[in-house]
Amino acid sequence: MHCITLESQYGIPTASIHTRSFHHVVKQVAFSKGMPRQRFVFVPQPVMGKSPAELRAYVEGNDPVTGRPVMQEVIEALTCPLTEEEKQQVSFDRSTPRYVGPATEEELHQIFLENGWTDRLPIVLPTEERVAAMLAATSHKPDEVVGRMRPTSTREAWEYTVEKVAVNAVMAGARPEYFPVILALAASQVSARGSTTSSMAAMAVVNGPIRHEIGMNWEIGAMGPYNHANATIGRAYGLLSQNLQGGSEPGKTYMGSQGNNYAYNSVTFAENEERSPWEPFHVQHGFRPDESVVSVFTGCRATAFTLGLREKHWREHVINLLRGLDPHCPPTFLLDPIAARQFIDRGGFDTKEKLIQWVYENATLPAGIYWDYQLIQNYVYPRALKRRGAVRHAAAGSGGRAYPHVPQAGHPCRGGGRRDQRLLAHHGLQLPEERLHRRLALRRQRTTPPAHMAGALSARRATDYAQPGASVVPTRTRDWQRLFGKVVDGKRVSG
Amino acid sequence: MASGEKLVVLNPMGYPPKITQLGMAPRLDTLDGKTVYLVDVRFDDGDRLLLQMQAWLNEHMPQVKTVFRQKAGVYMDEDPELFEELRQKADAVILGVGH
Repeated sequence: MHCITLESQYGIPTASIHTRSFHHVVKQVAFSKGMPRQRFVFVPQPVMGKSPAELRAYVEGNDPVTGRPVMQEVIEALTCPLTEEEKQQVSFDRSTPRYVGPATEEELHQIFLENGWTDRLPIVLPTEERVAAMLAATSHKPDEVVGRMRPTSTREAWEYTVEKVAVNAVMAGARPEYFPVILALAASQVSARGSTTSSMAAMAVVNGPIRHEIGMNWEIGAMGPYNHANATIGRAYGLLSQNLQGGSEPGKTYMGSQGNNYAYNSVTFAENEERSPWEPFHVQHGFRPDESVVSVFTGCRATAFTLGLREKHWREHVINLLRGLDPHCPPTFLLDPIAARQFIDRGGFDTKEKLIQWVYENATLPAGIYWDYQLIQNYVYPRALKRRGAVRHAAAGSGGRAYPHVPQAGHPCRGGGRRDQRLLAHHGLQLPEERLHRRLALRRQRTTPPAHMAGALSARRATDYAQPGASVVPTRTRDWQRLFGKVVDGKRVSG
Repeated sequence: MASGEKLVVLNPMGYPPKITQLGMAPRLDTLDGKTVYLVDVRFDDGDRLLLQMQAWLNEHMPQVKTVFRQKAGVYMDEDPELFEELRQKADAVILGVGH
């Protein structure tokens, strides 16, 4: 991606280094960004966590994709003249036919399966009659553009219409009365099939009167396979995400190393507003109680659980549970109504804000351990640096340390000031004082749903990950508020 | 539905964006006497790999001047300041890992 910028805008020849697992991905990305013949060099997977000797062996070894010496390919990438093929104009025609078929029912199911259009479970074939019935549940026109979606920010965004959303809703087995919720999810432009090596999934929580109107479940088994609306709305969210964003194919448009079982229906449920001791999630975020809202969460990949709060050590239990999670994303508490009441009885948290503040103050970990998490290294550390390119190492010939940004004698443990400050100073970094002890949250770019979709069910975007329960209490640092995406007007779509 | 009866259904895929082809940069005749930047995008210990690559170049191609830089921000962020430095001073760039 950056090499494409450097080549096309700065006129600099590049050699783009990747690991072999991304072989298909990078070629797809290069094609989609207009440089299909970009020159790549691959090394074995992984690079992360390898010793200097192992990485040296990568450099001195062969490209696992081509079998040719890595450094020879690097040099050739920079010095071999462009071939006629590389200079040739390429056709980028990619049409999406409106119809599939004619074919028998059995053949169509096979086509859908082989094209990667399903979740590998049987689907309902989207005939024109069924799609028309789904479209009757919204006042939006079939050819109205809903938005654009992409599997990750570095990939191209595909566009989709109301009809396309309806097609996927039919495939999921959803009933037309569920379609306003599904359309709102599509309008969020947040993919339930995000591509990240950490295999995150999405979660969708529905608030307001529509829960009753379409028969969702918010009580026993709400997050399990026990309710038609919950199940098919979540399934539709997944299917529309993978199909409308251009696909979710392992090794190409999906790079989750293990995958995530949550993705089958994106943990879709309704909040138990009636038994929550606090205000509902949508009210907490500015909506009226009588407005129907669906909230989208991403980053769902880790779950920790404990059964209620014990009288003696509930604080330690909760803190231990939180410390066991990757700190990159702030946690979301999903609470059974009894557990929610216990937080009030045990800790006096008669508001969500008080519980959130308690978590903020108590769910801490040593800074050195925090900064060493891989996701923190990837996503927080670079943005925490006060100086651009805080680590610079110029070497012409010999001289200079191999890893100037790694302390030579381990982490500092003596000296004045806070340990986290000393640690950062040792790395040659400086952080503003007010940020040193905080859990730093990633500032997300806000997405803006199309204005004409303002009449849809509101779609909120948050970044959290889930823990089991039935009431939703997002816990956050003060920084987390910046993670919310843009809120769409909460008006209900009329049928 | 009768066995063997054929039907037509709707395609579930979205619409891809239009692609405009971009030109690749002309290549160097040789790396000798040139300045090659190795740029780390800050993803998954890629800096350590690039430093090994730099060491290899320094050992095997001492006529090549190598400069190591870490791009500012998260891996997907652009770094206009660094890119401008590359425009001014780099004859070629090795960039990794990924992105």
